[in-house]
Parts: sequence; C-alpha cells; structure tokens
Amino acid sequence: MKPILTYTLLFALVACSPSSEDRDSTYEPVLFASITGGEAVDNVQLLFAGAYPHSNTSSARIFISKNDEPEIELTRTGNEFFDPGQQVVEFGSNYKFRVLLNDGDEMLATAIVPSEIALISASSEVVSVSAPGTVASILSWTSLGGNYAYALKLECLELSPVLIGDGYGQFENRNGLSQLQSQLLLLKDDFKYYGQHRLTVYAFDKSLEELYFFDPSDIRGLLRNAPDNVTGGGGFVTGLSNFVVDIQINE
Amino acid sequence: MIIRVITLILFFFFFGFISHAQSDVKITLKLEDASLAKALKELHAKYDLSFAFDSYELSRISGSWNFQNQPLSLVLETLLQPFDLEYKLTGSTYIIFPAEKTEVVRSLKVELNEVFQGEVRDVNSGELLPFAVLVWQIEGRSFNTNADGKFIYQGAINPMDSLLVFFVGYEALTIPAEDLDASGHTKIFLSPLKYYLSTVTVTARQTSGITTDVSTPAFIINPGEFLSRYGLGEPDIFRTAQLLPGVSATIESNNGLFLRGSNSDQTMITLDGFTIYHMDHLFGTFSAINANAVKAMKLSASALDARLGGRAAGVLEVIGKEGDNKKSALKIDLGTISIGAAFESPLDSAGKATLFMCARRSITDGIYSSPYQKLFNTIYDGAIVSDNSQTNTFEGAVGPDFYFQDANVKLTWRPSFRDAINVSLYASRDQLFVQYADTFANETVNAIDVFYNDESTKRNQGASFRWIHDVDQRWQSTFLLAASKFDGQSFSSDSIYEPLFDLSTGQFSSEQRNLGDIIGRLELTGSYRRNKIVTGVVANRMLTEEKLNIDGVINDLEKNIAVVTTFFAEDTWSIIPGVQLVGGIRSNYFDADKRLYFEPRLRLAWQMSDQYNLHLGFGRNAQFIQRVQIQNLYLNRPDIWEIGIKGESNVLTSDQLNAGVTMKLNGLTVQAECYKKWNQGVAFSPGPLADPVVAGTKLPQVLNGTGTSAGLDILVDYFKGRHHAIIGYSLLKAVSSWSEISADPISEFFEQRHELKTAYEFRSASWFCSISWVYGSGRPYTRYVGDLTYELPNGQIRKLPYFSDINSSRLPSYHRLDVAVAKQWMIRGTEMTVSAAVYNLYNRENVRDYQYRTIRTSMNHNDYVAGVKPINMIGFLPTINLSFRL
Repeated sequence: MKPILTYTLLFALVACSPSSEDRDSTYEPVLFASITGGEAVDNVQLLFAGAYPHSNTSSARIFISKNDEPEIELTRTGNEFFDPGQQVVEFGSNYKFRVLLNDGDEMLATAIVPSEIALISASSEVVSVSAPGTVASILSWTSLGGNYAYALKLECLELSPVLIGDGYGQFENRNGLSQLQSQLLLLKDDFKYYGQHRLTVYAFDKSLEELYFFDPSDIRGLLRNAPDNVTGGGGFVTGLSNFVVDIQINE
Repeated sequence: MIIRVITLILFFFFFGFISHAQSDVKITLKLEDASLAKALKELHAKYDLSFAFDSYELSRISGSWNFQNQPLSLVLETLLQPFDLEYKLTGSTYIIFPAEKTEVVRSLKVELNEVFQGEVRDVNSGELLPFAVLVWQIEGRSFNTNADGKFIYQGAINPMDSLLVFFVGYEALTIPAEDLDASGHTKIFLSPLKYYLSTVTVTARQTSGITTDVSTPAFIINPGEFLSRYGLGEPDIFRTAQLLPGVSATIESNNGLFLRGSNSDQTMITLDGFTIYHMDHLFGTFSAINANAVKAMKLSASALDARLGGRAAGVLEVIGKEGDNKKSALKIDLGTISIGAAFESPLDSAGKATLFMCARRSITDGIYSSPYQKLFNTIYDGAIVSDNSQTNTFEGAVGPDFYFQDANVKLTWRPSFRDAINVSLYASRDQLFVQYADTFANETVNAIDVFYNDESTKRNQGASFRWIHDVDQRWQSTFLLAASKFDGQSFSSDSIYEPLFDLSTGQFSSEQRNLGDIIGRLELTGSYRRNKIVTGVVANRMLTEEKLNIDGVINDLEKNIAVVTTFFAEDTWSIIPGVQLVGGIRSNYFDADKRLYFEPRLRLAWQMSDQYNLHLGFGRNAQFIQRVQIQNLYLNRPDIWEIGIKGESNVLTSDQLNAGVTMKLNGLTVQAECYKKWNQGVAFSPGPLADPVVAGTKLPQVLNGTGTSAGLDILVDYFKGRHHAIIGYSLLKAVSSWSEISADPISEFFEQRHELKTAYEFRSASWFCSISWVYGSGRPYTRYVGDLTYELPNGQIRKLPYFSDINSSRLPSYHRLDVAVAKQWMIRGTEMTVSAAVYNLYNRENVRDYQYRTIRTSMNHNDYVAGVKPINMIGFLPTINLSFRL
C-alpha cells in the first residue's frame, strides 16, 4: 500500500509543479525606434529600465522586415542599431521589429510609415514682423486621413540669433502637442528670433499621440505606466514622414 | 530549509506527548448540597486528580455525598450514574460525559434492502446535526445527514456490522446493527466533545480513514467558540476555514475565501440557503457572518455535488443554529471592537419549535480602542496615496466614523415527525464616514490639494424559508425559497484647491450598486437498492443595478436581470463494498444569452483498506455572476458584480479534475489531493498598470480571459486526548490570459506558490490555548522598474516610467504567529469566559503591495522622482474578549 501512496503523491507533485520558471522582473527591456520615409534606418535604441544594468540586452539582436519580406539584421553600436545596407525606408509600408534577447525572449513591434507628405501651399515664406497684422503665414500640406497625426518643429538656423522682443516665441506653447489638421496658421509672435527658420512637419501613426499628452502621474499622484506599442517589453516604435519649409523673418 | 526544520520540530512537538495513567486511590470526601462540579473540584484539590467536564452543566447538578476511604472508581460511579453520566480515563485525565443515548425502540434484525432512516441530534440541546457522517464499519458504505440533520439509508446491511456516527466536535458513537430499528425512525444522540475537549473545529475530510464516503468530498467545519475567536478580536468563521489547505490564509483585507487558485468571488457562501454577498466587515478584515449564529459549515470544492452550483471554485454552506429545544440560554459577548448577544429558546414545551437570534454591533464609532485604531490605520494607510510615514487618522479633530452590525434570527418548527420548517433572516451593514486631505506637503511643487469627504455604506439582507418533508421512508423533499439583497453606496464631496491659481472648486458624486438574488429550489432525495438519488430544480433570478450622480447629473447606467433555471440529478452507486461511483449533471438555461450550460460531475472512490482510500473526480462548474471590482476605500467605490452577459463579462465555466489519497492511522489523518482547473470567461478589471497589446486601443472596463490553476493540498490532522494539531500545505500555480493586455499568461494576484499552515490547540477542563503559524511564499505584483527619456519628433522630451509585466514580480514572503488563551469560570450558574489573543505576535511586516507615486520637483510634470511605499498588512495586535452564558 505504501508504494501506491508514495507514487500518488509523487504524481501529484509532478502534475502540479510549475511548468516554467517564473520571471521576477527587476528590469524592463525597452525599444525606441523612429524610422522616417525616404531615409535609412539608423535610430533604433535598445535600452532597459531598471535599477541595475541587466545583461539580457547585451548581446541582443534586432531584425527588421518590410511588409513581411525576409528579415534584415541590424548592426549594433553600443545601445544603438542601424541598417548596414542603408536601405531607404519606403513610404506607406509596415516595418516589423523583432528583438531577440539573450535569454531567448522576443520583443515585437510594428512601425507604420505614413505615405509621403508634402507642402501644398504657403501663403508667405518671407515674413516681416513689423508689418501690420498678426498672421505670418498659412501653410497646408497633404492630408493622410484620420489615422495620422502631425507634429511641428520650428528651428532657427541662424548661428547668432537675435531676439525679436518680449512676447515673441509662442510657437512651442501653441503647437507643442500633436495635431490632426493638415494646415497651420503661423502667427508673427510664434517666432522668437529674426532670420532664417526651418519648420519641419512630421506625420506619424496616431498611436504616438499618446506620448505627446502623457502625464506620468494620475490625478491621485500615483505613477502611471508609460504607453508603449512593444510586445514583450516596453518602448515605442514609430514611422514618420516629413517635409520642411524655410521661412525668413525680417524686421 | 528553515521552514522544513520548523515543520519537523512542530511535528515532533505535537506528537511527542506521552500520557500517563493514574492509579486508583482511596477517597474520603463529605459534601452537603453541593454541585457535582464542586465535588469534582474537591477531588482535584485533595487528591491531585485531573478531570475534564462541562462545568456549566455539572454546576447545575447538586447532591450530598459522604465517602469514607472508598476507591475512586466507586466514588465516580456514585457521583455520576444517577445523572446519566459516565467517565473514562484518557491519559491522566478523567473525562466526564453524558451516557450514550441511542434510542432503540426494538431490537430487530435488519433485513436486506431495508430502508433505515433517522436523525442525529445534540444530546444536550436536542439540535439536529447537519452533515453528520454515518459509516457501516464492515461494509464500508457511508452516508450523511442532510442540512436538517436527517438521513435515509437503503441497502443490504450485515447484521454483524456496526454503524459509526460522528460529527465534528462531538464524540463518535458506534451502534451495533442488531440494535437498530429498520422499520422505525431512529434517533441518535451525540455528546459534544466540549465536555472534555476543545471544540474541535476542523475535521478530516469525510473521506478520511474513518469513512469511505467521498460522495461528498467536503470539509465539515464547526466554527466553535475558541479557535475562531483568536486573531483580530472578532470571532471569524472564515479564519477557521482558512486553516484548511487550499484556502488562502495570507490575503488579509480581502473579503471572501480564495479557494484552490480561484478568486474569492468564485466561492459561493450561503447561509441557510440564501447567498451572502456582504462577506466581510471592516473592509475585508473579518467575516460578516456572526460565528455565534453558525452550527456547522460545509466547504465543497472541485467536483461538487450536482445539487451545488453557481460558482466556479466551490461552495461554503453555512447552517445557522436552530437553538436549544430544551432550555433557554442567553450569551453576551463584550469585545474590544464589538459587543453582541445571542438568545436561544424552545417555543413550546414539546420542543417542536425553537428560536435562535443573535446580533452584534461594533463600538468603533463610540470607542476608539487601540486594536481598532491600529486596524483602521492599517487599512486606511494602504488605501491612500501618502509618503512612508504611518498615517494616524485619529489624531485630527474628527476621527473616522465607522461602524458595522449584523443580526440573525432563525425560527424552526417541526409540526410532525416528517416535517421541518425553518425561517432564517439575516441583515448586515458597514458604514464609514471619513475626511482626509491629499496635500502632498513634502513636494517641492504642490500641484493640487484635495480635501475628501467620503461616505460609504454596504448592506446585505437575506431571508429563507425551508420546508423539509419526508415523503415516505425512502424519499425526502426539500423546498427552499431564499432571497438576498446587497447594495453598496458611496458618496463623496471633495474640495479641490489649486495653489497656483488660488482657486477652490468642489465636486460631488454618489454611486449606488444594487444586487438582488432570489432562489426557488425543490429537491428530492431518496435511495434505491445500492443507489442514493438526488434530483431537483432551481430557479435563480439575479438583478444588478448601477446608479450614478455626478455633480447633480443623475444616470441610471445599467440594469441587468437574468434568470438561471437549473435541473440537476445525481446518483451515488455503491458498485461493490468499498467502491462508489457518483455521477451527476446540472443543466442550466441562462436566459441572458438564451443558452444551455451543462455541468457534468463524476467521482469515483475506492476504499482500499481500513487505512487508505483513493478518490478521483471530474466536474464542470458554471458561474453566471462575477465580481469585477472589489471595494476600494481610497476610490470610494463599492463591490461591483456583473451578470455574465455576452460581450460584457461572460459566463465563467471551469473544468476541474482532482485526485487524492487519504491515510488514517490512530488519531492521525493524512490527506493529499491534487487538482487542475481550466477556466473560461475569467473577468478582470485591467486597472491603471495594464497596457493594451495593441497600441492605441482602449481597454474595456472588464476583460474576459481564460485561466488554469493546478495545485496540491496536503492536510495532516492529529487529534488525541487534549491535543489537536493541524498541518496544512498547499502548492499552487494559477495563471490567466487576457489577450488584450498580454501575450503571455499572467500570474493571478492571489497565487501563493507555497503556503504552510500549522495550528495546535490544547484544552484542559477550563483552560484553552492555541497557537498557529502561517507561512506563504511571495505573491505576484507589478513592479516599477525605472524610467527612460524619449525625444518626440518635434524635439520635446518625455520621461517615461516603466513597470514590469503585470504580476511578474514577487512580494516578500508572508508569515505570522498567532496565539490565543481562554479561561472559563462558573459563577453562580453563569459561565464566564475570558479570552485573549495576539495576532502577529512577532510583528512581522507583511507586505500586501507596493505603491508608487510621483513626487514632482517642478511645475513640469516630467520632472519627478518616484516614491515607493510598501502597503503593509496587520502587525502586532492584542485583543481581549469577555463572554457570559446565562
């Protein structure tokens, strides 16, 4: 009788024992990538969030494939990866990222590259801030539909920029977040400096919009999880399409 | 390793007691008009003899005696026999108990296939004993009394056989078959063990070595008065149940029972037939069912009886006390947190009708006792966002205004030998009003100050009418009509101050959640040849309702009504002596989705020898209502239950397989059972840390997924003389998958991979003590792992906090030691008991979860550091209780 009891208990122990080791996560692998249509893949970062460095990303490999075509392995320098073939990212395509971590776990993410966008019209590319009226220029560009959002970046290209005056330089306040419209009303007080400026308009998958509005604290002060679109880890990959407009600001 | 050593030490400690018999002595004693209790105490004082007896009962018996140099045995016979009392020597103690009474009207030999029916009662109070076990010793067949304490048996009986009758907390009784009357109605009386032993709280499974019966694989629990009292200062029937392996004992401040890798809403709790939804008082601290009102509990898990259903994990059937049918009694309890009273009485001279009622109310809104302050602060501290300092809500001008109360009434009437009618009523309420401020004084930049005024109420009312009728000698019918009404209300009026703009605003909201549950049940039980048959129909109407009022805008958001109509049938077939096959099915028509849900159940039991038996079971359980949100003090939100309507929270079905072995060796019972469950339709409220797998998608309020849990439960139960020891071990793995938030299975928050429970009780004539130690390996939680900065396409920087995968990290292990001591006195016919208990004796800081918050360092919300606060469970907590029985 004792053997029966023993075997039953052994069977029970084996039957109930966990099938795989539990992960006790002290880190989170994080993948950040933004690929821009018409440019090579060169801005891919594999990091970790955690109190201590973790070796699970030290010899990790990243593969990328366009529209389910065969994968290409990216080359690593430090935490950054690039496409050694320097192939140009195609507009309107999906790029799948697959990260193979040291322990065999995988991270997966997909970046959707928008169609190419271009400037349709700009009412003025040379603006005089001393001229009457507040509108500097009205710009419109290709609309990609409701699944895409746009972000704007205004840079002064002058090596020694000269300030216009108090109350100028409101661009960031007015246009710091993403927007859905495919047109822009530039006001004169958006500009902070005289001289040559470059406005870059980015189109991206709407999911990235979450990051523009992300507040790490909820209403009670509790820390919130960052939004991500990476399976098996954290982070964000996104596809971009952009164009630039140069604007001259005169007195 | 340390745990193993501790376990071994405890094991050998428990079983190392050696009893010594006492030799007979010559007694000289003279007493005039003294109580029997006093006579025994005199013998103890003069001759150092040890007695165990019920001082309450024996103090009511008086007489005059004069013994001159007479042997002790003769003295005891002279003292006891006139009052139908007997004694026996166990170890060095003379145990006094009532003479066994088995009403045997005629001595007739039982014929093959005769119907044998009767009832099992308490010899003192006359109360019927539900779920008592009766076992034919030679034949190996066993059967139970029903919830009304009655039994019917039909089948071949060996005239040489004898019937063993036992019930938790009572002396087992053996009756030769030839003394039984097969043609009449046999009354069997059992004597409570409390006459000389602890009120034993946990019996071995009914399938333990004593019996082959696995037709109802369940634990029978008698909550008693002592073991259940130790702990948090309130008698708690759940704390008693948590001694069993498979029932989690480490999840504090969570209502309900976590049974075998299932969430607590998957264990149904019924009281006299109606469902209890308000399972806790003081935000999950202790059970809402008054232990004084409970006669017995039966906890069924895995492959259930076909008559049981409605929950995926199991059912805890609580049978309320009927009351003494011989004499009236009043009991008063005075505790550090509540006061209560229980009254029982016969309502007629024939003992056909009885009344039992009890009530308790907390004194927490009037007296801020130290244990209460400690309990409340622990709960409050875990519910708010604050820094690491221990919050004291009682320091301010206005302390929290909290109370709870509950009441039970049960009327029993037995108009004839064949009929029994019960009416059971129950009401409970928790109410809290609390004010507090979230001012984050330690922040460099104080973004917003909120002053909260929260009021919440939680109520449950239940009622049942039950009529049990013996149709004939073979068949018995039970008709039940039961209703339960549960509602949670929360009201909040908050004032918000923004220092930046010196702006004050107010916001108001109230939320009400109602749940109604009505059950009608007709059940037939009978036997035919070697078969016991149970069949019946049940109709269960459920209603859930939500009402919201936000800043004056009233919304009746949701009202769902569903009816489940169930037919069930089960046959227990004794194939050959020692082998039983139980097959049953429940067929449910759920009108919410107009579908039939079948729940097949199958169990096999094999009594291999007197000492060993094996059992195997398979069953499917369906659950039509799930709790999708547990009450939250901080968010001021009540429990939310949702009916399983397609597209919202689905019907939960669980397929379960279990196999086990039981070994019985001279006072030692060892049981081991393994199980596996496959669940479909597991509801989950994703919460703030859940991230959608598909970016940009919005998670629904409730997710439906699948889950599996597998485990092993081992119970070692040693019971001898004055000593009772229990060791329980559980191994568990429970994971669920919700495709919306994770590609991998997620460990359930209640998954305790290893849990070890040990308890030891000792009782002498008037002293009782218990000690218990609980260990649990770390439960899963979601860890904050750090933050990274991300540059957006337009050059803006975002600081992004990242958490590990949901529940992928483990909390520190849990352990605590509880001790309890009680002493009884008889003072002028009144029994007084003083009990003292210490919860978490060595003040282990057990962690329930970690709280992460942002501490802003500038007005930019990206400038912050993360603050981490462990949410601790209850620490060192001494309590004292006083009770009087008049």
